Amino acid sequence: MPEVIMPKMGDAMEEGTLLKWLKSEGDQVEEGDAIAEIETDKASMEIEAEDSGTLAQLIASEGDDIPVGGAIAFIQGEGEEVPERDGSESGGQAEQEEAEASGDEGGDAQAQTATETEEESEAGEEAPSGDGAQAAGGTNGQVRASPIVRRLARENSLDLSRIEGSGPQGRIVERDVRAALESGEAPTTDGQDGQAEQQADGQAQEVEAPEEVQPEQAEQQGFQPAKLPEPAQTPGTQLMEPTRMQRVIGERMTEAKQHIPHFYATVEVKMDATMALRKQLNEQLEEEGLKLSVNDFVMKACAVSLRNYPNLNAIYTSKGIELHETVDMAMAVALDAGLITPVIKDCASKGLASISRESKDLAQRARDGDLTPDEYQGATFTLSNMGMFGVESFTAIINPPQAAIVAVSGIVKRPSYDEDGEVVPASMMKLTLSADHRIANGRDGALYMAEVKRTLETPMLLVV
Amino acid sequence: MPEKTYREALREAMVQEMENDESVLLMGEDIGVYGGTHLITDGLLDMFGPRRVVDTPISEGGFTGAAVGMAMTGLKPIVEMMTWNFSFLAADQIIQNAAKVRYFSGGQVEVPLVIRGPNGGGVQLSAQHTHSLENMYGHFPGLKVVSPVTPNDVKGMMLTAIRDPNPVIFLEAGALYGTKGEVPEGDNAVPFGKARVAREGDDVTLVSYGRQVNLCMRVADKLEEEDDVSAEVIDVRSIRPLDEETLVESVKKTHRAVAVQEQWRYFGVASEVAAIIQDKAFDYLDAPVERVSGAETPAPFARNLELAAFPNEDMVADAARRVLYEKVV
Repeated sequence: MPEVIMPKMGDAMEEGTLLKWLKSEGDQVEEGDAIAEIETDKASMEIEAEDSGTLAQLIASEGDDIPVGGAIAFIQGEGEEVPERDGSESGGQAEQEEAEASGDEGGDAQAQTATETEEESEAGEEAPSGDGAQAAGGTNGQVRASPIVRRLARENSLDLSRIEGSGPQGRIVERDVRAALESGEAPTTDGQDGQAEQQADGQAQEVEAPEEVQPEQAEQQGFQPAKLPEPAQTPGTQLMEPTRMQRVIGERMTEAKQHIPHFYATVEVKMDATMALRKQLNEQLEEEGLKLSVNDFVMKACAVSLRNYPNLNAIYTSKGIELHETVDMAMAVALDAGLITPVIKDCASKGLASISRESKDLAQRARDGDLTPDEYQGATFTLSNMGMFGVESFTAIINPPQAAIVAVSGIVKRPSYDEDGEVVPASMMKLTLSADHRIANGRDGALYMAEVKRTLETPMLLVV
Repeated sequence: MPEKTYREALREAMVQEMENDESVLLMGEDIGVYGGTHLITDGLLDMFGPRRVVDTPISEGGFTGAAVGMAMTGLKPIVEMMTWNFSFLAADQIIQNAAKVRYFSGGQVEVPLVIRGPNGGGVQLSAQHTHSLENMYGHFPGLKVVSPVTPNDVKGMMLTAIRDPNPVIFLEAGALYGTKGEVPEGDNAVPFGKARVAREGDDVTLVSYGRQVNLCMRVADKLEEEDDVSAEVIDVRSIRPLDEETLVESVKKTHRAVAVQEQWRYFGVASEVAAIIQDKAFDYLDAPVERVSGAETPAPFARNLELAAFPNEDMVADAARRVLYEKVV
């Protein structure tokens, strides 16, 4: 009785969402038939049957999040029995719960989405006085408190040693914490006054929806979850559940904005020479059916210019800053469900035609949800282009663990002075670098952007 | 919807399936001519004749073994244990054969057998005739064990039991055969492995099954009146498979649980419920899960002692107050 399991599509993948069944229970399937569509944090794809037989049991339901390795269906070969799935009618969920409970991440669904570093810190926190509490002189490890109280304390950075317990032997129970939070005098481990009040306000909501709070993160960063309003739920409003992809984007961008000290540098590039070269090349390439875009030139220019600025083509690792010789250039592609950044490998060594072909192919397949994980992972630098939407200028958030990202805006016709001081029209485009100040400094950023500008204004450099 | 007694609903399910499926037959002591000690099968001999309503000798091991053989060869026997206390004599057939034949045969031979009868006490039948055996049978893989309390569920779960290709231990609330409730006509099959939320609440979860569900409902009323506490009552009703999800979801909401069982405290269903909750809802608990159980003694005959030996309203309400920290000791 072969189980169909949630495959691991990338190193970081911990669970996937079952989007849609393509076959029904009882259908005959052949090896290689697509039986379901799944969505990871990066892409959606089809799961193929690895055996032939009857699709005897659909364990997971559409919309379920299944941990990697969790069973989603059974394919029944000839003469085989469908095994009993004790414990629950809705086997998918029971299975999932079992997986969660037996996994070393703990039974909470929230742990499933935690990143590896968070897991480590969670594991290291067996004595409930975690790093944060200890640093602030908290003694949460020694007080008597119920499990939910410890959870609330973690989520709200409460110092339990300063809350009086009303349970047996002075055990702190839920009502004691609620009273402290409501009174606005809840003692926090970081000793910041005024926060207690904020927490008391947001408190009810955090308890209602604990999944939304990232306690470990909050503690480590001294970051307090913002007070979220209750939905109005009035006519004309609609409550929307974020997609898995949107959640992941949110988590990663929040992480980037909180951890990475961004600095920015904007240059304005005169694009007339590039436009002229592009026109000329496109006339030549027309027969081959190839049409270079402005973005292809910008990508090539950004990649080539990185050669002299290795600390902008770098990865911030646990052991230090890893400088990369090869530029693996990610480009942001907007999708209906979010966005994804497919990678053009070794972009600096590729010709404009290759870059153009590859980027069109990747963008198309990204929109179709057909990318494989190695096509959107492992980039060293990112380009985000909103020029086609007429954006005049914007800044992008660094795509961690990379060191930098360049935001490409639209080309605008502007009056400018020529060598003789005459006013002439010019095609101007703004590029804004966002760089990680832990890795690079302002001068690196400024010089790099000047190099990009010089290259695009002398575009023959790109074809030699 | 028509009101029926627990007894009528149970009978209706068996009649319905006997009419639908000729391989369904009844066996047991005094179930035919006499109509059954508890009148569950009253009138069925006239309806279906002696080949399908079979009076057996007083030989639980013998007729249960015969029923296992019938089930293996294509019939669907429903065996009445006059009370589950007598099933000890048939335990070898139930545990060693019924539960294992499918496994031994690599799935080639099924045992679509239902064994049913009244379980538990409360009617002064004394020590040898007062047992709650749900944990004992629930312990063995290969058996399904259910314990319905409402007339609707006793009919719906009997339909499911007869249709199940595995041996089902059907534990009836013997003290409640005369209680009435709404029962839909026709097929109201109730799936196994799905608990029933008998009453919704926010502050504490009372978990039970069988006769004790009614006790929990009374306690929930009492807690609302006297303590302004909103109790959720969960009727587990399917002991194996057990619906862990509904338990866990409820405790995630209420943060406190009391598991109530008539059987003895140690190694009982309530212990299993408590273990599941602490395992899967640990971070949501505000207090240890309380168990309310029968007294650690063979069931007494004297009415006053029998009442004291089984869970009562005060015991359950006190347990709820302890997990709510209303009573701090």
